[in-house]
Amino acid sequence: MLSMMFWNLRGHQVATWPHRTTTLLRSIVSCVTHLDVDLLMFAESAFASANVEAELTRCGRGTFRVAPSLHRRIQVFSRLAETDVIIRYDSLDGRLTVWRVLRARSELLLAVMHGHGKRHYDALEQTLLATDIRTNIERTEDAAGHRRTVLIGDLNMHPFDAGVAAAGALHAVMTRDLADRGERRVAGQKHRLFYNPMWGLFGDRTPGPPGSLFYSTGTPVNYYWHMVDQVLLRPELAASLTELAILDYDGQDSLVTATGRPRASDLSDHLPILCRLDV
Amino acid sequence: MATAIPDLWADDIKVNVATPLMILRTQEGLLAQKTKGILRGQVATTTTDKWIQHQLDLIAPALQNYRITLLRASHHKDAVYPVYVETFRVSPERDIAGPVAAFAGTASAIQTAMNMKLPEGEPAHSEDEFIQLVRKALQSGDARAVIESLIARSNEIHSGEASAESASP
Repeated sequence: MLSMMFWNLRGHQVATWPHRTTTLLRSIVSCVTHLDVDLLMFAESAFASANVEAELTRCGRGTFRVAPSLHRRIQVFSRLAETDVIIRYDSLDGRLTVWRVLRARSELLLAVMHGHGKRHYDALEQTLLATDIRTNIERTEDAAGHRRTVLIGDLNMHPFDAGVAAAGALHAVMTRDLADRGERRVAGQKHRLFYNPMWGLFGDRTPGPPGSLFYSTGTPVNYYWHMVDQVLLRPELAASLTELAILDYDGQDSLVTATGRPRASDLSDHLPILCRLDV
Repeated sequence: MATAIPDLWADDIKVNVATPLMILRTQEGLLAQKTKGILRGQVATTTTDKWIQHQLDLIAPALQNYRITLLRASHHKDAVYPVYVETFRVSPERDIAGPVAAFAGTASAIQTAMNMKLPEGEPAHSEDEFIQLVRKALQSGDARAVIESLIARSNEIHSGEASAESASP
């Protein structure tokens, strides 16, 4: 089993970061302790990696190390053997890193992404940038010789946005049977498919929070809840997904307020996502 | 008598102009030569309906073929110049006041005229400008740091393998 947790910690909100660090770190440690997490991935982390390593290791669930990467945008901590988590690709801007993760039965590629935000990039630009992400994931798959790939991160797009759903971009579809085809031919060109299980977590008629980020605007289209933090799986890995959750509880404390919103003031406006793969 | 009409063309117009792809492909081979094969460059090209994008990656064969993108050059499908060059930075925060802002006026005028979004990065309007931008990118402190790091780590692995071989009976 491989348990992975991703969380956008909102470290770019520098004004609030200093007074969120203690509660954030306590929640992270609690997640690791109670949810038995092997790999932690953070976007917008302003933590010194040595501090996180020390706190995680202190909780007695193994020795956690930061997985070395030449970029700082995404932090990955792992309690697996150092030789079992190896960097395979760093993008130009550090918004995509791809890791080779070795397990007893198989090897997989772990792509961690922090997409460009909607505040600075419109839908067309996000889609074009997702095309670049897709291309580099495929190149890494081709070099590795397999497609056992999981993509996890803050995509800064919804599952229904073109950057996630379109062929040529990430091309992630909402059911396993659709993804099982492996590829789809569009305008004569084959496009690899991802399965996007996040579709199953939308709204209040599913277990867990309605989305991974709460952000309300005064504009006519206001989704309130956004599903920007996602896990996408290639069909080769889809069957191994045993658990997927947007976390509202770290095992000790609630990660949401009394009204069910993320505790943005002392944690993050994003909620962590957890997935377990039987690999 | 009428004044002699001057030559208004730029003095440095050349006839042997190379495309950005040709220039980047040349760098691929040169890196392998310079590093005795410890690192190699690889140019990959993607095409959309309007834009062509070339990315120059470094590959470290000794580090399980670890790959990092060092530079990206994008140009319109129908014109190889201007080409927009984005370069690797270790701390790549979006710099609103940086080069993008400096060219924002020109960029938005072209964008409006062509009714399309331009790629990010600094524009090079000629082969010479492109060469200068690529040179600056490949010789920047951040790029040098990556190159040195990958060579050092590759050497470490090679020396480990060599000592293991010499220790074996």
